[in-house]
Amino acid sequence: MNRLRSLLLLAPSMLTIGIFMAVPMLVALAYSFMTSSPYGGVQMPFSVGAYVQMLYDEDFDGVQVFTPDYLMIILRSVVLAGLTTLACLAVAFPAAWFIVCRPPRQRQLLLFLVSLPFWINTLIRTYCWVLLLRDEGLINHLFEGAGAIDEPLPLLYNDGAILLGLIYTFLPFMVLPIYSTLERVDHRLIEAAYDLYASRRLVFRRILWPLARPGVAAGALLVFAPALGSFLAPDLLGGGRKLLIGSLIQLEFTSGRNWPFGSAIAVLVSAAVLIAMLVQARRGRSAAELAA
Amino acid sequence: MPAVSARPAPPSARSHFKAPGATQSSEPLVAVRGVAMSFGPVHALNDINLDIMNHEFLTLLGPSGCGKTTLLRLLGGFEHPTAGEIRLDGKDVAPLPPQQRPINTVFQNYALFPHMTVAGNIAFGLEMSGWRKPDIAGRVEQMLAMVRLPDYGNRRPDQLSGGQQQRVALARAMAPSPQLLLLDEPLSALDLKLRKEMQIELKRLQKESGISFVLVTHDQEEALTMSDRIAVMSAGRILQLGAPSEIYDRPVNRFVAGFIGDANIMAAAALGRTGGSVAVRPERVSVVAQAAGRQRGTVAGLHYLGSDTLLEVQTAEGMQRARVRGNAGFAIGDAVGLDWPDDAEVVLQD
Repeated sequence: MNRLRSLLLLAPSMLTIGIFMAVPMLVALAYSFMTSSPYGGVQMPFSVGAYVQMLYDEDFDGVQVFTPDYLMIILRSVVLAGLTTLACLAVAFPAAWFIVCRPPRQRQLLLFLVSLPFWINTLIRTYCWVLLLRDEGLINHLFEGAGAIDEPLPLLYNDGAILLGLIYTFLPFMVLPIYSTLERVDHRLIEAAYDLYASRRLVFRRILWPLARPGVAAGALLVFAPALGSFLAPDLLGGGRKLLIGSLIQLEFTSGRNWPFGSAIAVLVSAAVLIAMLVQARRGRSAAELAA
Repeated sequence: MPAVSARPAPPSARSHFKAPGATQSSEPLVAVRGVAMSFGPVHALNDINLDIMNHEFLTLLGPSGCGKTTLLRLLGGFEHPTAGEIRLDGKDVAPLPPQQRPINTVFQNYALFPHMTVAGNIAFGLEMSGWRKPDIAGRVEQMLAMVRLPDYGNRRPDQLSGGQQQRVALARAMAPSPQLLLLDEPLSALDLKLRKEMQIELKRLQKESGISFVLVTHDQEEALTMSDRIAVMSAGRILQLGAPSEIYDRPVNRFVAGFIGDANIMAAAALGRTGGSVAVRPERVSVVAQAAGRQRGTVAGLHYLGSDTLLEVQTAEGMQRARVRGNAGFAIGDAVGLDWPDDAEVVLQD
């Protein structure tokens, strides 16, 4: 009876996840093993061609030639997402600690400010960066007005601009989980560590960091996964000149009209994220078992 | 049981790991001079003067909010006084942070590091103060044996009972051989039976190690059982400082008389004495025929306590209490007299 009731309670969320997440992922998996039809969409027969295409290109004679182009896109995307994650961590950890150390009422306000960007559409927020960074943008105007530069600085349409956009978009996803773990750390543990002759650096390394690690891991995943698949910032701020995974997938589904290839890349990214999540869940569970 | 005094020599690089008692025993280990502490407009401590001697078990006793915990935190370095000096070995340590004082603390809720094993917790202070690896392992074993938890080194703190956590917290704080150990209401989270056991245990550890202990408590019985000296505190001041028997037998004022043990307070004039008021402990009062009593009244309440009975007697000086042996055979409404020896009367300052 109790089991039945808990199943009933779970049913809506299970159904939602099933219909809106598992089914599309399975569809993408199926598409990735089919052939592209000339007007978009997919058709039979089944084929692993999409996966072969990631590494090999067919030259004019119909010979498969190894090409690193797509590998480079994946690598560039991983590096950019990784840098985004590290930069978010470097900014978010001190920020989260700062918030934790405020009196409760100020904490509420600061947390609200951190989540404020969620109230504005990501597209609009990213466009705002274009307005700030472009040659005739606010930043270049200010510098020129101050006489610091003659030529406008090339701030837009490069990897730095993409990185900036990604960090800006995903920073709250790092601050919030780290905050929630740091908030539960008993301040007396820190006093105890100082009492036992630890320096500030060692208090961080031996006490604060290990206790905050679950939040850091959660934040890293929440930043890395969407940053890897993001296409707004790369398109708008990177100018779409160099492709990243997200833009590539989007391209293959639209003007590229190669759904199987787009699906294959999407499957690859999803699989990588899923594996990362499983590894982390297992680590979390073994830590919980140790503690129990 | 390894004797704690046979501890391995601490690394010579750390001068503040001097063995306890290295200073001359007539000199106080810690001299608190004119210390005051305010948090904004709130005066938590006013002009505190206190000597902590070598090998001493000193208790700061008082109700919550009296400043005893603040004083302890000043000694530990977690707060810094707004005025005054805290001299350790003649050097003012008041501005120093906790990691620069040879003083360790047992926190109220133990504050054991949850992500480390018991051994890791005990080793922490040793690692931080530069002990060598091989020495640390031996020292941890020794401390675990001292607190009677051998073979618990690999457990996690949350796998231990409250009493066991308490012992680990003690072992952790004592491992680096501090010159002074601070204990912030260490027994308040334990049940009565365990608390009694730990009182004896704490006293034993203090005696064996020779480390000076400063304990904070609001439990007067705990203070009387364990301390060499008690400082009774109220409203940010030390009202009386002395041996437990001295505090109990010669309280200086109403507050001390009432806070430590039970006391009948009467106007001095009613007993033919000069001064403000007079305190008489209920166990010194005997119940006699009404005509023979120094005070007369009627029995208003009877509380059977097992070995004793507490009588409440309504007199002209208010309700007075007498603690008599056994079941004394009185009934409510009995007319009685109360008598006591002359030396039971303590004249209070206020």
